[in-house]
Amino acid sequence: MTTWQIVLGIIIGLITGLVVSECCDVSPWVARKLVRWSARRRYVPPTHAELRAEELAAYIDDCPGRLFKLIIALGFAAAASVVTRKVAPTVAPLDPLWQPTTLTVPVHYEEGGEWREDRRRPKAHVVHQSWCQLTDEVCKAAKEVGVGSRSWRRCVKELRRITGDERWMLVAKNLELLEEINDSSAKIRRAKYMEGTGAPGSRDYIVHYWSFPTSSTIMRYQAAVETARAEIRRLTSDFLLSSVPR
Amino acid sequence: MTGPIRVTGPLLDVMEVFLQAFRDDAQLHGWAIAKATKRSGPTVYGVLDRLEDAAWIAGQWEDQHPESNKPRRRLYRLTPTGLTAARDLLAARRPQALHHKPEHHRVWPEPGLAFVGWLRTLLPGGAR
Repeated sequence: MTTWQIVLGIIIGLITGLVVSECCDVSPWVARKLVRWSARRRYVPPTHAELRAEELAAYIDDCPGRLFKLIIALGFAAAASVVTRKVAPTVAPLDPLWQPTTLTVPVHYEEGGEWREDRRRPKAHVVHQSWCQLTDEVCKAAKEVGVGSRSWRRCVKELRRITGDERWMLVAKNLELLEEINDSSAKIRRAKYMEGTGAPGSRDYIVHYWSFPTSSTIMRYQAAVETARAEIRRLTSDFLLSSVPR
Repeated sequence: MTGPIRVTGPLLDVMEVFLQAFRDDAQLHGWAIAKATKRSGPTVYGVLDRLEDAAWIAGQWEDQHPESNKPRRRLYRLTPTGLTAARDLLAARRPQALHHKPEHHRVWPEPGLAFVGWLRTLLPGGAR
């Protein structure tokens, strides 16, 4: 063995020793980070996840040995990657006496210009978009409890059946009202279409004017939709938090 | 929140440890439970989640020393409901656990003094 080989061996040994020592020093820090990440991944309510993260950090702190801490933390991370758990918070998320709002939306229309088939009706479109967001929210809520349907009526019916919560009936009433406004907003075109002054069958029979919801009606409608969406989310999360899998 | 709870081997182990701690008027933290049951951390915490959801155990944070920068431990103890449930469950599944202290839950002497126990066995009529 030549001199340079001996020197190289010593240098490699020293570097390896330093790397291993550094890894050992860093491993408790990595382990703490890892268990905190695991807790955040495993426990769904963020407040609960933070508490569990601190608890698991204390657990890691109690473990003897630097590398052992890292091995234990890897175990937690592996478990968290396969298990996601929804845990009920220590306090009830909702007041059981809470009831959804009974929505009222005064609707007013204003006359627009001459009706043409190619003319866009942006205000009626805004109402329709809001309505679609609301139905999407219902379908999403239903999907979260395991119901797959595109019909909002069916979704609400199933939500009521699965959760056993009568408050879904009030939500359904609000949805009926908002659907009616959306439909009437769309039907104004047809109503005006039938009010043509010409004889049936003639070209004059085609609608002359069109109507659209006023800006204040649209704003009230959007506010009502947002309220309904928030209440749907609230009822759904209440059910999901209270039905912890065991 | 109470309800049916999935009874598994780790759950019975943890209940056994909790019952022992209740007898000793002690509170347990995660690492102590894992050490006593010889189960992994994720398993133990899975059981603790289930027991806490069923309100069989209650947890509280330990008082932290102001100068200490260590994370706080969470200490658990059986609730009255949990105590009744643990007794019923162990009576049905592990009756011996109610009468005998389990081997792996025994508190051993410090390693440095372990020989004292062995010396006592050598004395006439000496039992540990």
